Amino acid sequence: MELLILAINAILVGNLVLAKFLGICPFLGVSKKISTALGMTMAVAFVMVLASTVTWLIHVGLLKPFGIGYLRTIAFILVIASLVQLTEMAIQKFSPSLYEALGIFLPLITTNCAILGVAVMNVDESRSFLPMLVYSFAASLGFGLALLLFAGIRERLETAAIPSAFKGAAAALVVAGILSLAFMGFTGLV
Amino acid sequence: MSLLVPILVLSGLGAAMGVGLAVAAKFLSVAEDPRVEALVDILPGANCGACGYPGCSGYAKGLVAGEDVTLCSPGGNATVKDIAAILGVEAVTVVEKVALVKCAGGRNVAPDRSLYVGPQTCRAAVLVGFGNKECRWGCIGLGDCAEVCEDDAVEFTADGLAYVVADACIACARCVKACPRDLIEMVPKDRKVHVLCSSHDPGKITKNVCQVGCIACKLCSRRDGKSFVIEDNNATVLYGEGSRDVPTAALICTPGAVWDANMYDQVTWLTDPEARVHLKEQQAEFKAAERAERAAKKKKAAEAKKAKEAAADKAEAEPAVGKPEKTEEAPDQEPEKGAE
Repeated sequence: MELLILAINAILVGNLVLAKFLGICPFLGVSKKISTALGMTMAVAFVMVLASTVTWLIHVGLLKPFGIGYLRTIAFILVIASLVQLTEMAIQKFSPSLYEALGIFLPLITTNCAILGVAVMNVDESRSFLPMLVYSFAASLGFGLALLLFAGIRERLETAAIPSAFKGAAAALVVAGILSLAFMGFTGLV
Repeated sequence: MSLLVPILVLSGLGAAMGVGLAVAAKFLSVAEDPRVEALVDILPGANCGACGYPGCSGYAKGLVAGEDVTLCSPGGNATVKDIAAILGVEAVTVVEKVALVKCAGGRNVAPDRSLYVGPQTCRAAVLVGFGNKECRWGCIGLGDCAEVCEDDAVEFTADGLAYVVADACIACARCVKACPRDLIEMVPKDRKVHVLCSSHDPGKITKNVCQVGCIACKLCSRRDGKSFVIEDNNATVLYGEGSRDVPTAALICTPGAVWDANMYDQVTWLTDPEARVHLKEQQAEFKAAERAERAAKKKKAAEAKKAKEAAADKAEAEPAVGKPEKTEEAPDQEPEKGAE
């Protein structure tokens, strides 16, 4: 039950993008088409769960015992960057079309604050292994939910008759704000 | 000691990641088709985008994936041959093209209507009341086409008319997209006869705003309907199969909208008023010659008709003589049959 609450909290109430401002870059950058948004969601989910697991292990098994928790940030960034590199290679090998579609945003996962944010949050809250795993996965699901909702809206926005001054990035940011407003309605759910 | 631990831990971590990635790179490496590199080498390297790909390397990748081999217009036939050789497919001959500005109306023949002082680009100028030229179809001469041309193939006459120097043009077609009036067309390099007017106004209006505009009189399309067509008040040269450089087209075009490169080179044609005078003389001569020829033909036809009539008269007379002969012969043969 606790895990379920944790998951709902991560997906809806404390949505990474719309409530915590994390991972805005891919949220705005890869949301033009639902298909690429889905690819990005899967890439982020994969990297997030993997990175959270590995960083948690490093924190618990390496940094904590040696009492060098202050190296957390640099160690986590190192691990995340390597994992993203690995993911990039794997995607290029197994799904060239997804690789083309993600383009520059795949390397940008490296500096994606959502990934580092989740890793740090897990450690800060001193979660044990299972809640850590659930939270990381749920957080990536929340990211994916926001991204897909946003991509769906933007696809329709392309053909909608909106004032030309709003077209493009401006409309996207306005929609993002409204979407965030909607997610604020979940506050107090759990 | 307290210093050594973090250093060791972090460098150990870094080393582990590095080794891991090195191993992964080996297993996950994507082998690139060696033909791609060979194709990039033989493509012109202009990265002009005429093929529809972002650059030559993009087209090379597309080619390996089965793209049409004839898309590289800067390279022309030689490149198509090289591509075909590398890919092992049959080479196709392509028509090498060159950009042509379909307007001959410099300020000397197609005057400005007003002074334009806004941003000095054609794109901006056409937004202000159809541009500042009397003719709302013609070249404004602010050089949006020259702006995008990386080979400096677009030049201007003293009267503010853009034209493309064929020898410098690599046929990337960037200027075609840049011209807000759609004046530029890619035409076969070996063609000599072109209509240098894109006005779709009725002849009456065109005549008032430009001395060399097409008035859609249909003289050219009537002469050779496979090479010229009148569409929406404008004569268009059909460059496709079955068409030809009509040698007399320039001689019959009343306003002189047809440019025949066999008669005048481009710069002379666009800038030298003498050329127009000369053409008028030629046209008059041609007209006279044609009239004389027609008269001669008429005369000949009349004579031929006369001769024919005479022959017909004769022929009418002849059967009258021939018929009795036949009837005489037939009875001759019958008795022979009966005797047998």
